[in-house]
Amino acid sequence: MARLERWARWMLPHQEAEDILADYRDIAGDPELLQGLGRPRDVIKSLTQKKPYRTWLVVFALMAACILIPGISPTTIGYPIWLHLFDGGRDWPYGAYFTIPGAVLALVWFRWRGRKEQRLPKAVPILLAVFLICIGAVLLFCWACSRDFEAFLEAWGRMKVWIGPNEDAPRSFHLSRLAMCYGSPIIALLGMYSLVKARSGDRRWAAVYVLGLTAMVTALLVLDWSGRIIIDGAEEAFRQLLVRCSVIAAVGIVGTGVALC
Amino acid sequence: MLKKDLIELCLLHLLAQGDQYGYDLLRRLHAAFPDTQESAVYALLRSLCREGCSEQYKGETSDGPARKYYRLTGHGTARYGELLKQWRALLAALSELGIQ
Repeated sequence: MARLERWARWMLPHQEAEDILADYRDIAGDPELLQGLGRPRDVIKSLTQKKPYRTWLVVFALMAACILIPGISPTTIGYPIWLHLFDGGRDWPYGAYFTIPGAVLALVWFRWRGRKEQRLPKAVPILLAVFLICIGAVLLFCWACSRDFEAFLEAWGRMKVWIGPNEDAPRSFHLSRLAMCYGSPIIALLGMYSLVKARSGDRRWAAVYVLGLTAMVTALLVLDWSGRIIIDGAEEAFRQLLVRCSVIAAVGIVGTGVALC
Repeated sequence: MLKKDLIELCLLHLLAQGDQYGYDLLRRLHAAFPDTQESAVYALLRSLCREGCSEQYKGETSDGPARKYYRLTGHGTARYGELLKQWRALLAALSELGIQ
């Protein structure tokens, strides 16, 4: 029954899945009839209408692309994507725009077609809190750099003593960049997982996807800017970046609220 | 008239007698057509719903989860009449050939 439920909720529109599952709860008590119906996946496949299912697959592919492509871009594998989406000295890297259709699609699709359970899944507030901490850390970093960049760099350099000795460059610098580089694909994977859960379970999982996109894009913007900022005038550049990231964060949090309602 | 139409006629006939829930319809059809795949019968029942020939509603229960019942719609009644007419014409044609 659990497998059937998963397949039904993935392949069928919400109301259709509910009706079929209601029938199956009755049929489950009759082993002979249940056996005659066949394997869960085959049953659901035979009941699936091609057009709505294909539409869902296209929407899912678009939402997945919107989080996966920028998500893997700062890794070694995704470096060619990074060059096109972020790196290049543009004021607004394309990667930031890339995430907008994903968030809008997720909000519109799941608000209208999703299923809301009585209780909010436990993992949703936990993941939202993690993403909020990530966004907070990014904003804090921008704020600290915009206040006194040299003092910040000095403090950053001192951190190497705390983290571990390194003669060439502050190890903390590499660690921070690594955290942003490899945090993004993790956020992307969590975003993918939340899309699957929003379709097959509670639609409020879409909030995790929206806030994940927000956390990822703010981190990637900082990663992009921090790689090409000149020390003279860095404070002003970080002030601008702070304003931009704050606007993105505010929009993302509003979107998350809408997804949760 | 194909076997599919015949099963469709049976489903509509059962629904014309009164509202029924899915399991009951399947069980009765399984008894009437034991060699037919239940999944095919169920797919037919769902397609009747999609075409607007029948609709589902939540029935009232005193205990346990609410059951969903199927009922015939106006469009379903018309379809039932149409299939019944075809069935009677087929019976007449068979009878003319001497098949009883």
